[in-house]
Amino acid sequence: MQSLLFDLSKYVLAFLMAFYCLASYVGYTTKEKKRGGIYFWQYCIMFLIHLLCYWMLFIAYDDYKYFYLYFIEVMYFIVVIGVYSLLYPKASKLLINNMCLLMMVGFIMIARLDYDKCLKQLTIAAISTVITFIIPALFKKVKTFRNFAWVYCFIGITLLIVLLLGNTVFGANLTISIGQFSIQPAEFVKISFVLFVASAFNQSTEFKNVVYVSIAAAVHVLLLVCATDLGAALILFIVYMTMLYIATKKGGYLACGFLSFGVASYLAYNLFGHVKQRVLIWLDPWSRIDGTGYQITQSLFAIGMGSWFGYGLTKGAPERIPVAIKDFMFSAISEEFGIIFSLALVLVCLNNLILMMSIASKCNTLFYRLVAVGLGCTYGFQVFLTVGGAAKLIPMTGVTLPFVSYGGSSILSSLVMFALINAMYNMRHDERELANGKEKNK
Amino acid sequence: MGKKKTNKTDKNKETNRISYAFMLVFGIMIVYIVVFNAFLAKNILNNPYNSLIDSHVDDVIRGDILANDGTVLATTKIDAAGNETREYPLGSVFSHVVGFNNNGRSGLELSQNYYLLSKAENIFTQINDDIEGTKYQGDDVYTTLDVDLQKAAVESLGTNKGAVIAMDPTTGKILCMASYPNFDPNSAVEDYSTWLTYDSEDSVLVNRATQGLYPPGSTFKILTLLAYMEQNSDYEDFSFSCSGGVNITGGTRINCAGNTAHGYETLVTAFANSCNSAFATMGVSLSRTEYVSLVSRFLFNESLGVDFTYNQSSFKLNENSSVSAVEETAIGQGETMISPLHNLMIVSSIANKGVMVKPKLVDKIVDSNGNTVVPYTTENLGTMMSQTQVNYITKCMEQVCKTGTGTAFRNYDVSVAGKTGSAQYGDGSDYHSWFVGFAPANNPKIAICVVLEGGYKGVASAQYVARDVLDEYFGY
Repeated sequence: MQSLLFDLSKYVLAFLMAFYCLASYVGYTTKEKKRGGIYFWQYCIMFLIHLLCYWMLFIAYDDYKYFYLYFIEVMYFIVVIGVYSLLYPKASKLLINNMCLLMMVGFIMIARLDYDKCLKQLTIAAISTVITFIIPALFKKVKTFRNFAWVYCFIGITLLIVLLLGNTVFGANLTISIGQFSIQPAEFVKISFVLFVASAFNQSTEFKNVVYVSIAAAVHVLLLVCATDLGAALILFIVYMTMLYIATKKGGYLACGFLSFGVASYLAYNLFGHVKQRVLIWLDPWSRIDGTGYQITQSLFAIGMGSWFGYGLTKGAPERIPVAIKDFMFSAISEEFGIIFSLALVLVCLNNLILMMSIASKCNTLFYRLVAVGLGCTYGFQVFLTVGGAAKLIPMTGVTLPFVSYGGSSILSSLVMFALINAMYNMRHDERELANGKEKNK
Repeated sequence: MGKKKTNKTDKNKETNRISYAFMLVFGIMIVYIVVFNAFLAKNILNNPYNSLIDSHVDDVIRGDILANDGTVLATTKIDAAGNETREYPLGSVFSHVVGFNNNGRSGLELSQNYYLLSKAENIFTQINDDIEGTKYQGDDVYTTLDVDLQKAAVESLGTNKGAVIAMDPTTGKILCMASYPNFDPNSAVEDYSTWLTYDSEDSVLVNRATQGLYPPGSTFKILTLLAYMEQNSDYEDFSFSCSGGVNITGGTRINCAGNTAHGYETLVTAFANSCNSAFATMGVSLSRTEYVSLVSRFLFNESLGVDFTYNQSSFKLNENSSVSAVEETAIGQGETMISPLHNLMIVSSIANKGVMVKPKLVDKIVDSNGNTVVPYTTENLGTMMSQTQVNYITKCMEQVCKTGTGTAFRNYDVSVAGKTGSAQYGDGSDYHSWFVGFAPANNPKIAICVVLEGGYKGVASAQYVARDVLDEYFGY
């Protein structure tokens, strides 16, 4: 009986995930005041998915530690949802629910792959969440954040130079180790970069300023390419282009940007061995299957073998895919949960992006709007890079799936990003009042 | 108020555009993944590196491997206690080509592992099996192999090291593939460690038909002939006077086999006599760039694209090679190495009007419900030569069997087009014996390649082994 329930639960999970995904889109199209029922369903489904998966882990590994981990996680999620609705009732519950769901799936998969890492991830997530609780309040109180454009720029470039030196001198792989901790600076540069561009364009979108900011942005991207972090380089480029478009409303800049992107890609392909290698692996991984093509082909096997409903949690072998826990989380999830589940998960990520763009459109202040657009694109494009890379739609770029993949820097920066977005939600009513007040004064 | 409203729609317009762009990109990605899973994945999953399939072992009864007439070549027997054993009713007859499934895998057991362990693709059947807890039945692999032809090849090869491989040149269906020394896959459990102790020359695990690399000897003159024809439109006027050997400026002396002086020769008779002097002379006269590019076209130094284990052939001639290297290469000596499989593909392309097809061992995959999961398709690898060239080379190859070195086929009931070869190896005192050919010459049904490693006994040369197999095929 137990094994029958176990075998059938993969179908139940696929259904639940699809249902959650539907709820998130229905929620988006429903007026805020009428969303109560949607939230209720979302809570039910996500805690049910979480419970079912931990039950499966518990049955499969026959170890009570999963039982304890489950309870700590449930407490954590209750605190996250509870604190946000108490402190910031105006924050987007849809966004917070999606975030919690993604973290749940992430914790489940990390626990399935490596229990100790899941414990570590949970600890970092808990500490980070506490820190990020203050962000919306801070952002509301301090209005001078928008005046430090070149400070953000300086911080970003410094971090990247340190990263580059770390790479070349110490052979570190995109990380900086301080004592026990290893930090991936690129994760934080994504945020400092958005703040930099937003504040710079908030000050002026004159041609001269655009040129300066573009040069600084190009330096960021170039440093990342040199540090072999192509994923982050691409993200910053796309983010810059969209922010430039939002700030100037000129399509001409976009055209220039993508033209220069073409030229830059051509040069990078010929100048940097690692760029060329990624492209060659993408074009033909099969002839390199026992070497550089191993990872992507294993990822494709995982997606194809998992098929629509997957093997069932713990029934596949995702640990054989190199760095499954980070860059190839999508493949690992597809293998055990199936494509229906994992694509519903991707659609939830898209839902996050749509929510972020929606708050951006509601911000009256250019700075806030740019921050929302910038962070939204950072998030959305990163999801595209990691999922598209795992499915070999595009070359591998080695980025993580936010909230789902293992990695302290990744989870912290993702939490900061979502806290910043919630800060926008938190302020929009005040902004409206402010605008109305101005109107009246006239 | 009105102005504010336009502002607001403006803002919406731009952020909406970004949302739409992302929706589009995500939509493409999702469609791609769905299409990948529904249609593309099945083409890639049958790969020895797909180790995930091995997790099916507990849920799936391994499918059977069958010959083209349905004879079972490998099957899984389950005893009363539920223990599974893999059995090979014909034992060592199909040793390399079918392979084994204990202590690792080889042959079709390796290359078709995915299908043998795959279950019928019906989600309801799968849920039903989940509920009932029964084991799935894996797919059956129907091969293109012919039991009688395989037995004839194995028997004729006897205890001589070497390989026999034959296929239908128009479809690419491999009819037999034998290699000696061989093994009995039924004893893979007990004997595997012993098999590993053989050195590379004796190894029973190497499938010489696909993995063995030998100097091509005179069989390579087919390509030299074709290169000469491509570069000299008046090739039919070629004549040569053979005195049993030739000295070419800048090169080493090339002797004909047994130092026989062939006297006056046309291109046809030079080929039929397998005249080293004539072909070395022709080789040196060739444009090297074009010669190399022709040989490359025939997939030397390249992947053959087949779905089973093989070794890549090598051809090392280039612009800067010495004259003696060109002489040697033109007659199939020197540094060129080729597998019997590759040599068969070359001769098959002549038999198939110049079109090379991909050799295949699997006729179809049939699931437990009797549905054909993967049907047979003939895959063309490219047109290698023109019809005129095909006709002329066929004429030359027929002459080999009528009056030339193909003595085994004198007055044979079917017209055979062939080429013999004896390839020197090591210090040059010993020879590998080759035969490549097809029959009937005017309407080819079967192409064959035989190689016997030096030191063979009990048979005059490779062409006699080929004749035994053709006897079986044509019913003599």
